[in-house]
Amino acid sequence: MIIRIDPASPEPLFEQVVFAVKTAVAKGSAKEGDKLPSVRELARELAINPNTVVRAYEVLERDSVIVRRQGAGCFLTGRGSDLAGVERKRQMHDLLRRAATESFHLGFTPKEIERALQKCLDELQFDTKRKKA
Amino acid sequence: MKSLWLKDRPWILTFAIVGAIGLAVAASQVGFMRLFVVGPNRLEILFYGAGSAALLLGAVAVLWDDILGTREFLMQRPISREALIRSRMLACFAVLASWMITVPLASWLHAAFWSDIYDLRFWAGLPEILSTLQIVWPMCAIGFLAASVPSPWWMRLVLAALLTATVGVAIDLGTAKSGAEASVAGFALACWLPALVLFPWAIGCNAQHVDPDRPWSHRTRWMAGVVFVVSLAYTAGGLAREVQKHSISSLRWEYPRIVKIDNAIRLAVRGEDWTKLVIADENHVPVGSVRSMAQFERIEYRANAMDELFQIEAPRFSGLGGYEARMRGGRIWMGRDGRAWLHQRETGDVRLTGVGAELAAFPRALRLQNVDDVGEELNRSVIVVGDSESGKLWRYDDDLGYFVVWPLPDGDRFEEVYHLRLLEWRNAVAEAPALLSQLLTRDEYVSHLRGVTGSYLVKDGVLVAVDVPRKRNQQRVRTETVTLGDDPLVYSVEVPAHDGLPSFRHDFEPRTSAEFGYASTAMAMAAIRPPLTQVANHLFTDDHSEASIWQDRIVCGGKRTWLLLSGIALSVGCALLIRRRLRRIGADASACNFWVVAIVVGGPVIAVLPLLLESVRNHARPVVAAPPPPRIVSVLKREEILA
Amino acid sequence: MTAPVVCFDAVHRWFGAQHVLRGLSFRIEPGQVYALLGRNGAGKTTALRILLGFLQPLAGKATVLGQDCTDLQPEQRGRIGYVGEEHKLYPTMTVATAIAFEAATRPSFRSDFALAAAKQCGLRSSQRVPFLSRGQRAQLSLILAVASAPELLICDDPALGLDVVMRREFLDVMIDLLSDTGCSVLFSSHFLTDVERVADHIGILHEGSLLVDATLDDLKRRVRRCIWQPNEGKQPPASEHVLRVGARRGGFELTLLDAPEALFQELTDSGELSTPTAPSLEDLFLDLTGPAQPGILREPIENFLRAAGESR
Repeated sequence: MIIRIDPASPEPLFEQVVFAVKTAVAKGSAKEGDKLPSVRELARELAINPNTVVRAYEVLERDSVIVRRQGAGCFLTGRGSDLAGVERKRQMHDLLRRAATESFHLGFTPKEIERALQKCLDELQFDTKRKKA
Repeated sequence: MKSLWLKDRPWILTFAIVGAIGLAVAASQVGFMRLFVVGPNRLEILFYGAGSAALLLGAVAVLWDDILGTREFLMQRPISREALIRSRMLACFAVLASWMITVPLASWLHAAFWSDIYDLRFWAGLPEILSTLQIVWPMCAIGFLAASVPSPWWMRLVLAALLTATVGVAIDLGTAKSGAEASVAGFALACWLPALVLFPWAIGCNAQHVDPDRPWSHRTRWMAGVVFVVSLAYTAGGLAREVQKHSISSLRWEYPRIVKIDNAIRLAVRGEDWTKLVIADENHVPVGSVRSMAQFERIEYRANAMDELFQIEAPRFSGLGGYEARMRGGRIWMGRDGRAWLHQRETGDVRLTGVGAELAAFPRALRLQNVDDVGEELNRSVIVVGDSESGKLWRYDDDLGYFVVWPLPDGDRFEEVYHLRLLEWRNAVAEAPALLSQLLTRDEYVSHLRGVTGSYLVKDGVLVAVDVPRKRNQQRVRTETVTLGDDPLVYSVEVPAHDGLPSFRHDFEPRTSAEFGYASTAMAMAAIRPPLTQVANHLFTDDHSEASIWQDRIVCGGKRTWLLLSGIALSVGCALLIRRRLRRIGADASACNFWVVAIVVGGPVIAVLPLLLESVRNHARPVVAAPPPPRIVSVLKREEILA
Repeated sequence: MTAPVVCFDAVHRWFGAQHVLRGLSFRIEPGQVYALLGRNGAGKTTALRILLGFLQPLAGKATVLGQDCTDLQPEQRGRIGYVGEEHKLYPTMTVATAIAFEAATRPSFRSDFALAAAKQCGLRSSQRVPFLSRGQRAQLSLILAVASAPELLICDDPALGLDVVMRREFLDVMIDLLSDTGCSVLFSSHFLTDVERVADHIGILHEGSLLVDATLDDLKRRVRRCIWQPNEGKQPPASEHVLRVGARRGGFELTLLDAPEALFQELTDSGELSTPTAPSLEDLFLDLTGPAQPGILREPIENFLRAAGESR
């Protein structure tokens, strides 16, 4: 699992860590049961405040992306976020709308955008069955 | 404690080693005996050198971290201020102790066991060996205290100078009190007492450090301020006393003399040089022509106890004047115990000498004197020791290396060694031209011995009786005069009727501008001396009390209450002015009260201190307005802070 | 509720006529990493020296670990680690003696940790302090401060004069400390990228008081920057949400705080608005503390270049 961040980016650091973990899960480069690096390891690796890592892990735990086992560390559950349906929908809608707006301004037709989205989905090869479970 | 010495190691070792090397070099240059042992003539350089080194040691001990710039690196440690100061102080003590122990003790042991040049009186000699070095304790304490005081560096230097003067005089006085001659114990005690006061005081002063934007805290003002006040009052008081003394003697020198001329008793003032006098009238104004001194039959008036201007001359610990005589190739000293020591310049050896082959001690400390030998060989002299009580006389025999009894001819008893000018000899021995021809080749003065009945010259090592008149040849009329009044400035002198002359009386008081100048200087000094001691003087002492540094002959014994009161008024006025200034610059009541009391007690000179120590900047209070709130603030949610 | 580790309450401090701190107030909660930023001479060092009791506040009050800073006892000092601006160490000591001295003067000091850390940083124990490089001195200072496991670490511009590698190593030591003990840190720095990595909370000190006292995340979330080219004659709206207006070619550069949708709408209606982005800490710092007129140096430099060109 590769976790990369950019301290100068406008996004808060802990969100970047959360996003990196979620991306890894979404891409399938990390699987259920994989152990996340310890707070200390990750903080040193990224050269960031351990508090930030702790916070990111807490968010991930809240979203049920990871589970913390006392004394052993944090492990991936393999699941996506457990957010309430409406909120989940709203967030997805926002993201897609932004992608669509940007694409439109780049001069693509709705058809082309639709095709591109489909292609992204194919590339990521979501395990749809697991998602349903 | 030891852990702090880890950082102090550089200066501790440097001072210990350099000090030991300095002592060793000094001992090797002038000899251990001369440096440490032979009491009266110990070198002053040790006294001043060791004192200065100790002063520096105390200052470096306190300022070490400021010198390195590591003060904050040190202060952030969990060590209390007291522990820091204690460790510095103990380090100082260790260095000073090492100075005492290394060279003096090693040399003493060496001399005691491996050298037979003289007996060291063993244990009894030890305190004396260590005594000169005792000056290092108070000097180190002065350096320590001055460096600890939270004030600008130049004020610390001033304080060090003031304290050195104060403690120096205190040691002199303390030693003087311990006996007519300085005793080892008295000197050591006089050294230790200031050190015992100043070292703990330094702990109190060190509580704060320099901050030019804050006034001294109440506590600091009481600790450091008192040191400033006392040392300045002491030094300024002493200086005022010296000026006063000088003014009084100048005034008395300026006053006319009472002279007898042309069979009348008149007043005469000094002419343009010492040998001329001018007749003056009642108002001390010259009226006659300038006359040479020889034309007067002077009347010496003696104002009882007046000329004896009070002197504080502490017995010098490190040297007794007149108890030394030079000889070819060295010197001889007389110790306080009557033992004589011989110092050979070439070898640096000091060895015991004395009366006879057994080198016995003299009955007490007696003056060693050189008496000229008027024989064929030029510039020869003999060293003699005479005891006027027993009438005995000894002569140092160069060949034997000890003193031998030298009886005066005809069983005469020794009285004194007397010096006569050649001019006087010319008159005295006019009838013996042969003798005179020899005398004429000599210096201006020629010394001779006087017994109870006769006078004796030394000629080729033999005593020759000469007929020298006992009185100086200038004839004077000595008339008993009576001085009326107990005051150094204003008094009357009465010459009783004699030789058919009527009695004469003159009231001496300032009449000319010069006299007024001296008198007013003396009185001004009385006005600026510390009111506390002036009041005590006025109420409890009189002119004949034991002289002390605080005594003031102008106001003592209830004299000149108006001057005392105006002195107090001057102090109070200064205090009020200072108080107004302090109020204006925003000092609090405790600061005002402290300085008012200090000035009223210590005199107007003390007013300099609040001007220097309480600056406008110390008390400045710029407008403290609430700043605008930050533009961006996040209100922290508890859960966002993670343990 | 736990007590704050550090609390400044309207602290004033002046040096003669120079009023350096004008009512500085902020607090640091346990576990926080607080970065105190500001231009040179803004009063950062003064604030830290007041905190450590080296200077007295002339008005207001500062407390650390619940104790008034003017009266710090050894007990509190033992819980504070301090790395000074110049990384002062005793010049007469070696690395080993420096560690031994620290161990002897601090009860909670872990010598084995310090020795190991020093070795890891490539410091030989026999090296003498004056011969250490600036970076090595900084490392040793930090190791000495950290090895006593302080509850509060105070660093005065620790990265000053260090190269990139050294700065990163310095950060590593600090991160280790934070992961091991969860102590609070208060540091001042000019390296804003480092600050963005480790700080939770930012205080921007300007002219003696704080302009910003916020979490880094908050800053990133709430501050937006955009370029606005208004239609003819329009001026930027006067709103409490506009932090700063900078003149720019053909328009303005706006820094907005908590800007509501309505404001964006207003701007879009009256001109052309770029997509609002979150500024980096450096940009924000420049916006808030930089000179009101941007490019004070530009004109002289251009003149110089022109003169140079003409002479050629």
